[in-house]
Amino acid sequence: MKLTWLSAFDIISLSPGFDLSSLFEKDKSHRSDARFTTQKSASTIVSRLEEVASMGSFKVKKKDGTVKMQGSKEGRKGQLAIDAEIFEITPAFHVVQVTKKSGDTAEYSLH
Amino acid sequence: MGCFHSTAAKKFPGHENPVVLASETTFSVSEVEALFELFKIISSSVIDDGLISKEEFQLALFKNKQKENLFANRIFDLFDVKQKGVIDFGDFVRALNVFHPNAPQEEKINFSFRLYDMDGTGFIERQEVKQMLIALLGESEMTLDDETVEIILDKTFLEADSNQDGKIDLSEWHDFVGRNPSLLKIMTLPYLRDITTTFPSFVFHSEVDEAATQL
Repeated sequence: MKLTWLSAFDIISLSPGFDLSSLFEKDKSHRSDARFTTQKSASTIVSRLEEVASMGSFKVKKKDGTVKMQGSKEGRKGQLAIDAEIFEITPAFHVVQVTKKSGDTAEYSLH
Repeated sequence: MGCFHSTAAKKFPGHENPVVLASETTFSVSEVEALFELFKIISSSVIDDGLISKEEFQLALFKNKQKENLFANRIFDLFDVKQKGVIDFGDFVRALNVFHPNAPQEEKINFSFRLYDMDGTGFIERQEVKQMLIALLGESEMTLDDETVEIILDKTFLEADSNQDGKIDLSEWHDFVGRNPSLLKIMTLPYLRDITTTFPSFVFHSEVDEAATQL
């Protein structure tokens, strides 16, 4: 799948020191996105995401470097939809950004 | 009882009339008042002097007043327009104005340029970017060897440094950001749209209401 390449500035802007939203958030547990890095290859990341998705009965769609997952069960605030976008820093180093697109934050945190 | 503004001005050096601040920024008067509620919380967290110190800023951002961070320092320095080592309420509102979703792109582009131009030379030099990149790698769990760091810098400068003089000037930055709009993501805080709900200020504190009742 085609991934977005990260420039030095993209990487630098990942710092929590630049994230002023913490000034406004009283409760960090309600954040609806998370980021992590991995030294696995892109295809390994995608397979792992698909594994997790099938365990939680999610439908999976892949598009432009993003793995889109949609829960099939109706939760409190509609279906849970999560996007996992994969960015490449080097072929052996990736950043995955996970964002909740809809649904209940509590259900999202469980996953 | 004097008007609220002069009382606030004594306790909060640099406090400016919300009506004035609203007229100079994208914020409404009630939004400025809501920002004041937030400002009061942050500026009193270590020393109650009506000013935000570096420690208080770090506490608000990281929930840890001792956490030194290169990037938070850059933000602090840009908020601290008068270079006094502290942020007053006027500084706070004017700087946050740039982060409002409705603020002009131009202002966000200029602010982000100054953010990365650490030594304020008017150019973002390769060495500065390298320093920031290494700092970021240090604070995250990412480890990249020096060769990979150089490759990332090479690719970045190839794309951004159009005249290939080893540094990025404002107009090159402008073009680069135009092609890579996600770089401005850090320059917008959607929270600022709902500020009056997150930090409601009570009606009897409102300067505007006081002024109205004095008529």
